[in-house]
Amino acid sequence: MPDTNRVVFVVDDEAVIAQTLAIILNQAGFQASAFDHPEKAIAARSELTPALLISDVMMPGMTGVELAIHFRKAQPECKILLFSGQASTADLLEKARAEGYDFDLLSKPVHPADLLAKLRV
Amino acid sequence: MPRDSFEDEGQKLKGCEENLRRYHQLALAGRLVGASMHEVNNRLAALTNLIFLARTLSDCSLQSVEYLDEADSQLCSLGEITSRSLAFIRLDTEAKEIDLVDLATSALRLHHEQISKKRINVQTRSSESALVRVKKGEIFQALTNLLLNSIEALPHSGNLHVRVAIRRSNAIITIADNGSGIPESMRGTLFDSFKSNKSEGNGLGLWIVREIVRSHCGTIQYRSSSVVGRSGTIFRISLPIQSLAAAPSPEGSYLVATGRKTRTVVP
Repeated sequence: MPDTNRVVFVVDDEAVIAQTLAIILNQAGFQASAFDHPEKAIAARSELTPALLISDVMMPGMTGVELAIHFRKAQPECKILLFSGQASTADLLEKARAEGYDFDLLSKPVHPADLLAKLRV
Repeated sequence: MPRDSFEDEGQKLKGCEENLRRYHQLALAGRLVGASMHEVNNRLAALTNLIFLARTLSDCSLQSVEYLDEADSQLCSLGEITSRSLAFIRLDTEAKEIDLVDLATSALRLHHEQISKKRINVQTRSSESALVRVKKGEIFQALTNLLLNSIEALPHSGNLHVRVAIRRSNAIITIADNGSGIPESMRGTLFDSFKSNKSEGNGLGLWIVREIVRSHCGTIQYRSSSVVGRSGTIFRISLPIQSLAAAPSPEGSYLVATGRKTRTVVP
């Protein structure tokens, strides 16, 4: 295992967003993989251990909040960042908070420069 | 019945019908726009990333970099517009009882990135809870617009006060900042649409806030000072606790509570 885990999972049902974000992160020295479905990210966890999960919230099938709870349970040390372009997210986050989960949320669109700055801190 | 009070009632009814008409327009627009906002935000996110990537290409000419920088700035501006203009008006077809204190807390959380970036000192002073019957998405939008304005106006380490209280049959939301204040020249047309003093503003933010507040039969006031050393702005929204007494249906009649009377209004 490398000393500093730079593995990042990027999940967004919009493939363009997940892919471009993964490329941006890789150019900045991370090891990012893009997933256009939450289930794929869950499956990949058996082979790669991410240090960070970045995920959209509103996705068909499983929401980003559900995905985040799954990761939080399975891998508590993994950092989680959720993105959303919608207000209905606030409701989902409140529900999660009621269950004891607190997730970082950024509203779309997030400028890559801002995201990278946040990750470097 | 004295003649005055009859005309008064007539005027009040006219006022409420006007409110209802405006609310109708806003709700319709909101439903259409709300449905596509998610799509728009996704396109924006993709574009922002793609332009960022194009700019980092090593074979990018100086001129290309300039163009892409400008494209990036245009996108940021577009992002501003979407986040202030009906972004949160969703499928709010019903007014529901919600806690305004929770809502204000959520709105602050949503913007905590910008708040911490500027190291803004946020103070909240609210009752335990403030239950009102409102359209949650719309009030959330109104709060967001006011918060964003304050955050923008504030210098580094400025102060932001958010307060929610119940006064008799109204909920009072106060958002105050000690930023530069609203310039005198703006104050006359502050709530007019498409007039903005910001270079990248579209001027819809406060107009939308006012429309939302009005459609809830509420009021909005502000005080502002640009005097150096004592500058700042306070916005105060007052919402009747039972502002929208019944859930409207897309077609059909509505029950509108006007003071203590109820009237049936058929659209």
